[in-house]
Amino acid sequence: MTLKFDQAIFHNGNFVLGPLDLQFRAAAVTVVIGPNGSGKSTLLRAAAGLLSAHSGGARLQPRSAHAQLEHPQLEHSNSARAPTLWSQQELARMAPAQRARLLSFVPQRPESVAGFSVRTSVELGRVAMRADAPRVQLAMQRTGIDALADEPVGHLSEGQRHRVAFARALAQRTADTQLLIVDEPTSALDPSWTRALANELRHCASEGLAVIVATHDFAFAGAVADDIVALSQGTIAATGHACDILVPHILQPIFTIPFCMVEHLAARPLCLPLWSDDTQPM
Amino acid sequence: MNTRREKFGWVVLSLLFAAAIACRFLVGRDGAGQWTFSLPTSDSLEWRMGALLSGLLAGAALSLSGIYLQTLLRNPLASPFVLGLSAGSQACVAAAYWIAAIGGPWLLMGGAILPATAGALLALAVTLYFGRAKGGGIDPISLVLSGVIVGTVAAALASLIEWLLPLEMRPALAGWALGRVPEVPELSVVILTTITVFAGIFIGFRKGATLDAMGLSDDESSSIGIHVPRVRMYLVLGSSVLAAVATALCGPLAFVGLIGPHMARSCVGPRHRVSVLAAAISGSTLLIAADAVRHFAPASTGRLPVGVICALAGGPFFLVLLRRGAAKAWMR
Repeated sequence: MTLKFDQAIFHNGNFVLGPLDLQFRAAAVTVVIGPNGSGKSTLLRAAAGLLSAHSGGARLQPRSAHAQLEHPQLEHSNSARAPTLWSQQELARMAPAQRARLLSFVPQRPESVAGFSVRTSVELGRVAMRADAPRVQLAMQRTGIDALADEPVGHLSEGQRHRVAFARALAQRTADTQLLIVDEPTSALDPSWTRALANELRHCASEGLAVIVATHDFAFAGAVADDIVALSQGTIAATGHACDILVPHILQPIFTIPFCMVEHLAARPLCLPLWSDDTQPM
Repeated sequence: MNTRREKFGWVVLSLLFAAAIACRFLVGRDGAGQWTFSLPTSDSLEWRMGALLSGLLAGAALSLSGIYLQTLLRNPLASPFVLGLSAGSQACVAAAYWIAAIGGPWLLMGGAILPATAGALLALAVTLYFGRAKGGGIDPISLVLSGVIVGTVAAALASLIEWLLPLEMRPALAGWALGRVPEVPELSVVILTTITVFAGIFIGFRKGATLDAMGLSDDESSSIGIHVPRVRMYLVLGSSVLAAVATALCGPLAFVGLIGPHMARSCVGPRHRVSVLAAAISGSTLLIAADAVRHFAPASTGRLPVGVICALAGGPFFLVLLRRGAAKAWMR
């Protein structure tokens, strides 16, 4: 399923995001980048249905409908059983229990009552649906917190608590889940867990989910992204395939610092920020 | 889910509960007004049972109100007394008495419950309005400050109305306003309180996971499927009614609704499925114990109101919580 925004404008307090024309593809990881205050978190909250579009449209589009758009000649023949489209407004108005089956969301700063055990916190992901102990256990194993299952969340480090929140989102998944939205998951993670998270996100995308991640970590973005949405001051500065966007001449004007390409660190070249101004980008 | 520790907590809680009941059941006064431990005579049996029932119900209702307020506001310092609900009830009940004194006693036919509920809701609404942080969230400390002010003003209003009352009506209201556990509780109030308390415990048991999820940030609880505004509304109504029935029964009592939930969580852990029932038992234990302790005071100057004991014991507890930074350590 593809989440599509058409000329959508979102208000979050005084901040205005949009108008946005973009889509988050199913079975792909879209990484949202941009300077502080450019609207990454607002975009992610909008995608999660936590904000209602102020104007314009945005819709969550089943995959078959997406195929129809790419092949308009099919549209006619299939129109009898045209699939449901959820507009973003509908997503925002949808009963939370229903929305929870469609998408999971991990905020930038997860919160929990400090006295809850890790297991209780992860189990909360299934609060609106049938309990599923094996799935909870699997989610804890995938995020490496199964050994801490009986620890109170208050005793954990910041990075471990992020993993608890991510495990909660994994535990929340059902057969209907279409979207996984993660806001800056890497800021508190060590390199080994950043890598594990990247693998986990790739794995979710390979299972057909549209995965949306915001990050400031360009090595992580380069390793995990299929698509990039670069925001600047509440509008889209650039969007497209990762290899087209993660290049110095596009990132430099957005972040106003030099970038350079680095080979051999990952499967494909990475575009990383430079720390000193006098280094010549390659 | 440390079940062994949880079981141990239940044992401790039950023992304390039984001890408080036994103590209140056995304590009495001899002919000289000195306290004694003795089996009740046929006269005093009825009184002691009445006091036990009142204490059981009001303590449970206050503590349930406290745990639901703490869940609603994600603030371990919240309680019906600290947020001004008890004083709001008190003021509205006093006002109802005053209206009845002018317009005729039939106006009080519905008992103290209705004005008490209206007062609790009103006080909570005002406290929430002024306790909001600028960004729209709720700042724990300014919320408590706002509650204390609302409570003080409401208590002053209650005193003012009391002063306006005809002299013969004042003693009944004044005794109630200090907080006392009635030995002969009004039947209608007892029935309503019983229903409310059982409903409070039942909802905690059935909706425990939903209440647990209210401890997450709004975005998180909403995205795992909780209708946050709706649950909030239920919590506001529920905690107000619980505080109101307790106040109608025993007058404004300080800190039972604060200590009860903390005692429950330290015994059986924070999951609402168990901690709500434990909070009800803790609240009953505390109020019954306070009502028993009251008897050990020298009797020469008359009965010591139980509200005094509650405030004396509970005030320091609140300060310790504040000192330990409980409001900040609660969430992570």
